[in-house]
Amino acid sequence: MSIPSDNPYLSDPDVLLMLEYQKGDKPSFEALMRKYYVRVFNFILRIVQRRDAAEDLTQEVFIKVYHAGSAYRPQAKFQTWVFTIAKNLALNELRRAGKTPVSLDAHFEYDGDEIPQQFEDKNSLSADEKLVQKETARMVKDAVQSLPESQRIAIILRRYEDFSYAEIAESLSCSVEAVKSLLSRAKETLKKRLAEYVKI
Amino acid sequence: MNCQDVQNLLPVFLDNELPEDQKQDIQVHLTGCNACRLELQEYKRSWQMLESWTDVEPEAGYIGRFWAELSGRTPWPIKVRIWFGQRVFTPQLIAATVVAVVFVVVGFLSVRNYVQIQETEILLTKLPAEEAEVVDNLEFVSDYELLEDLDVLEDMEVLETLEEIES
Repeated sequence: MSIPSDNPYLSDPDVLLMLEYQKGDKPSFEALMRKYYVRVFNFILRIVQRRDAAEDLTQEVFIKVYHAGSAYRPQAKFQTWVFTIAKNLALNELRRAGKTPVSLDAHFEYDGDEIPQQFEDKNSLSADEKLVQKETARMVKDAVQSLPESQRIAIILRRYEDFSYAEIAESLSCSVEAVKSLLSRAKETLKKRLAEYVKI
Repeated sequence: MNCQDVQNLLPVFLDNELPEDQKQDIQVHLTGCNACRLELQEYKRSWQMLESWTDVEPEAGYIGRFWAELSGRTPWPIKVRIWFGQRVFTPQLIAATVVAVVFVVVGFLSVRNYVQIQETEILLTKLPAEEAEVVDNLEFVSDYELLEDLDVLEDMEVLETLEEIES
């Protein structure tokens, strides 16, 4: 089954990699995985806030991409498609877990050993600066987590994945105008919640 | 544009997603409104603060884990579908499929033709004698009509003989 040559997504190099994988070229699939794995992992982690769940769900995303290979037809940018799968899995996990709140002060656990939530700043901050940065990160996470689900996902896609409004709309299955409204309300909430830190 | 209108649009203005005319109206307003400029700066600062929530590295070896997980989990219908997806459109299989289809169609038509012939022969055996003779001589009746136009046969008195037979 050939893709029509006027398909607008054939200009996306990641779509072409996926089509190469569809022909049986597994290295193309691995190239896609290397390119997107960390991004998808962090996207899911920002939503579910649990590292173990984020690891499992990221694997699930790529298992779905792998199995979709034979029937794949580019109907969006590859990035939009992958993050839509990730979004759906993350939201399903939240619902399955009953939206159990996670303490943002807790460190992630990995193999029983606690690790910091973030990697240390490689710019050799002083101890005070590191504390300020850690506190700022905690405030930011609290503020983003306080947003309603759709606003939170729109903010994460815009701020951390640099999605355009059109791509966010596609991922959330809504209009661009709806995305403008979501981001406007989300940014206003964030401005108010972070007001203590942003006062000029 | 009043300040409320401008401040409502500032989040989208910062993302450069407003129509050009609205952008220009806001820029004009901002040049003369300190309160809205401060509001814009607060939006920018809170947006920049989100940078502090940095990425985390996933557990190392995720590609190896993926292949191990996959091999243990692929259900057999998916394996069959993957197998076909990698083989169904090979030239050899297409050619074999076309040949098989041709054989099936020719075989079907041949069988149908044979059955029709058998049915016709059975019908003929059931005709009354007079009708059967007409059917058997249908060929001659057609030729007789043509023979009328041949002068040589008139000279040989063939036509007169045929007319006698017919009468």
